[in-house]
Amino acid sequence: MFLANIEFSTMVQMLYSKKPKAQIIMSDFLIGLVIFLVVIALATSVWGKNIYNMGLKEKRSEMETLVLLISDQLVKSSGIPEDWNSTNIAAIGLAESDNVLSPAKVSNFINLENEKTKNLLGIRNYNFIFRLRNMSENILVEYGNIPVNEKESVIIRRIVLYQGRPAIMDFGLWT
Amino acid sequence: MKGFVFTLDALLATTIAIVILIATYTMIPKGQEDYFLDDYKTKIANDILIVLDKSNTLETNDETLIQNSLTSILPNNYGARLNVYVYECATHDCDNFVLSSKVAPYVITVNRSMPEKDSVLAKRSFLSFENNRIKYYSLAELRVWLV
Repeated sequence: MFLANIEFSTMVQMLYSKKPKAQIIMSDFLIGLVIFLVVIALATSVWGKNIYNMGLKEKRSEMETLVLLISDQLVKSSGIPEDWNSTNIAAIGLAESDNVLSPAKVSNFINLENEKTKNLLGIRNYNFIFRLRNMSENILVEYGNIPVNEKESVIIRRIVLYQGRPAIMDFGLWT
Repeated sequence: MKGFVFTLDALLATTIAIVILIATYTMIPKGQEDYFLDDYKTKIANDILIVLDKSNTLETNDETLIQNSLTSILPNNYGARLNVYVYECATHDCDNFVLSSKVAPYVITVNRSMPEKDSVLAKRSFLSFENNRIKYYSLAELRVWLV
């Protein structure tokens, strides 16, 4: 309504004054253009920020999914073949049965080369950390790379039985 | 009539600008919902039940022992409530079950003082043996939440 009033009065001025009409229309046009450019700039900036945040979120989401899947694979699967070793391994699994880790498989696992483990787990783009702790938090086994100056990391804990006792298995990915 | 045309023009431009702004703020997809925490809590709850079962703790139906075990393996930042329902055969042929008259359903809680916000539930059935024969058929329900 305010804009309409201004424009109407401007038109009246244009019709009944001696002022150059083109300049008034030009100023009106310029104001419109500025508002339009501000809106476009604002929209582009918000859009760009959202796209950037979505990219970050997607990467983190991929890491979270991988960590959940791999930790499940480690604590629930025996691996392929079931009696795997460093020469014949096709898929890594550490379980004797659900959530019961085999000390022999854990020993084989931590003796694999890091790159081979990353290939077998499908995590070539990430660093990983595997850790077994007893319920008093003392480290029993540690394998992989401890996160240092990481940009992004996702580490989860699973409760397992190891050597007949409850233990904590940490598995994480980081970049 | 010119003024009227310009007014319409301004109104149209303003409307388009507002539509663009609203669309930018509201119609951009916010990405997927974050299900990680719920999935993670569910895995923790299932892990705990499996470990309590496979360490032969649950089958004792000893509330003190189960409470101590649950407290020791539950991560410090979690609260938990375990409900256990113990059933026995209703008939000699065991073709039906009834709640046990000897072991009443029991509840064990850890960090109960905190609210059960966004909790998840895991269930597991297990057996209790006596003289190499099944004595009880039980169902454990573990609810865990972040404190």
